[in-house]
Amino acid sequence: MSGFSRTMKYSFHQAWQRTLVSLGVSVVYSLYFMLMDDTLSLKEFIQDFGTYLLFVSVLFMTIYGLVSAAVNVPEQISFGCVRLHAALSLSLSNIFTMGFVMLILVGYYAVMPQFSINDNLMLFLHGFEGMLAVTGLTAFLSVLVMKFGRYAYIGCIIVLALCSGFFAGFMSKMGNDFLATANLEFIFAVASAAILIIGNIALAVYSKYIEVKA
Amino acid sequence: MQELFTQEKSIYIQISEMIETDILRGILLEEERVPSTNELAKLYAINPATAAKGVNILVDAGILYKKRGIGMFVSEGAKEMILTNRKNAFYDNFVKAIVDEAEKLGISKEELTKMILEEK
Amino acid sequence: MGNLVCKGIVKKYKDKVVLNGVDLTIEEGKIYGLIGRNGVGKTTLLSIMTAQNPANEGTVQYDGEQVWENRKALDHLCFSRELNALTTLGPNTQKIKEYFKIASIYYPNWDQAYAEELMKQFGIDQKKRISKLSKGMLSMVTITIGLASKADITILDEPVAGLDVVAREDFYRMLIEEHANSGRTFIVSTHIIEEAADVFEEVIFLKDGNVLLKENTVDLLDRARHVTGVAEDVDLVTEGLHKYHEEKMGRSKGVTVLLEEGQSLKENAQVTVQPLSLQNLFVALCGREE
Repeated sequence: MSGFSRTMKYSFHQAWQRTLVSLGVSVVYSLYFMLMDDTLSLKEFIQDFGTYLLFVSVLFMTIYGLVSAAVNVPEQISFGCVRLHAALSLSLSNIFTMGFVMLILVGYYAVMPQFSINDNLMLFLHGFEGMLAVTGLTAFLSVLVMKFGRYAYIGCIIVLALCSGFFAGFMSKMGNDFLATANLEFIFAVASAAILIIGNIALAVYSKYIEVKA
Repeated sequence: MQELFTQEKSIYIQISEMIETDILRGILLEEERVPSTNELAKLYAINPATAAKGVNILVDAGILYKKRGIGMFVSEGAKEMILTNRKNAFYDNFVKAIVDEAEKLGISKEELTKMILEEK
Repeated sequence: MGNLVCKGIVKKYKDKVVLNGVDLTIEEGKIYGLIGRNGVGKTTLLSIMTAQNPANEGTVQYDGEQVWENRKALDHLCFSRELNALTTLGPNTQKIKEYFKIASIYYPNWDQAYAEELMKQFGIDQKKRISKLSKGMLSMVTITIGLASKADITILDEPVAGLDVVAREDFYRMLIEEHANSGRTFIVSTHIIEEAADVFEEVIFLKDGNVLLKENTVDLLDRARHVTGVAEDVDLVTEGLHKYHEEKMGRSKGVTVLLEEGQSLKENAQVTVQPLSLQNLFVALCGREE
């Protein structure tokens, strides 16, 4: 197996575990809200569940992403993984997670007869872009986590939680409308891709200095 | 073969002496195969290179010989060879030490001889 | 298989120089013991040799190729280091089984059957979580990873820390057996010197940021002598030789010497000459300075 395909295998393994956790938490979360709010119709609940899943997934991606920085990247290096690949696995795991979540959502909405995929296409697109941006931001902040350890960790979690809240807003219907009217969609798409790339370049460069501590 | 090692002598010398003692005691007979260096290493938890050094002392002395591809074997007449070697070394290994020690303690050669004759 | 060659390794932490231009060649097929006091830089050197830490200066090559960021070279190496149960995140909430799964992804020659066999011999359930393991069990997992990696050059950092004496003896036997079966190269760093001395074909003493000596264990011990007696006699007998760790008590003196090629002690019945154990020799050479 080539070096990079090993990293892919490792990231894949991480991703499906994280997806399962996100799924589990979203189900609990949305059941809770459904029980709390009698006025919520079934249709609204089904619609909201999709958003909850996206939101929870992004939240977990950010948390797991920073955990990866502190733990999984050095762990891979300690097994003799090439540092560049180990650094890239951080975003790879998130991208795989994104892929699984999207598949679940597409399947979910396809199965629900009240909804058409087209209605939710924008939702998916923005969700996807949001996840890319969060992934890139996580990669960037993970440099701080690796350098400064647990002090940076708390700070980065807060920053990412705020950002994921921001992106979750964009993924909701409100955000959809806003983006549509303001014609920011193209800019949003390019910005997300740019954040992903810049974040990973920063991480790749920093990987040369990572010391695997006892 | 199961003797424990001491601090006083190099391990490889002790390995060679152990094999010699086994030959004298009839545990290893002439023309019989001796454990390989890997087997010795595993048995005593020592490095095979050390075991090999010990075995080679005996090969050089003609007490063991190598059959290529099969292993090490006890030479014919090994028992006599070992006894002769040990008899020759007896003076250096034992007698000299006793004489020197007796001299240090002020025991005369006559007293020493008397002690030896009286020893059962 | 090939040699692992370090040239001019320098490592500094802020202003402190930990490794000061280390040159070291690890030849294939031998079992090496790396011995040095706490904090001398054993783990640092070993992690630099396996590209887990960057050196400030110097090169590490395996079979003529740079090790750093080189998958081809890294595929032949394994550095199994002490696991720490205190970290609550990441690998330490994993089960041992899962940790082995990662090992199987990254070590091309990973032998799962051998790993399970070793776990059985150690009596550890693979479904246990790493954070729940005792110090001894952590060492056993570290040893298993190192042995089952089947890497050409395998480095075990303090593998017997936390093991009781019976488990230690088990480890030395497992090591010799695996070495005999596969001819792999092993480097074992340890504090527990005397038990392990018989297992090492060569020993490396690390002192003051550099390699003090690297020699065949048996040859080294053959040229070490401990001389004791009346101080003047000891001085006479050891004139012109490399002396270490002189101890005086009243009129007597004890000193350790290392004979160079062609040197010998002068004959003198008044002094006692004894061989040294590897542990005693290490203390004499690397112990506290007078």
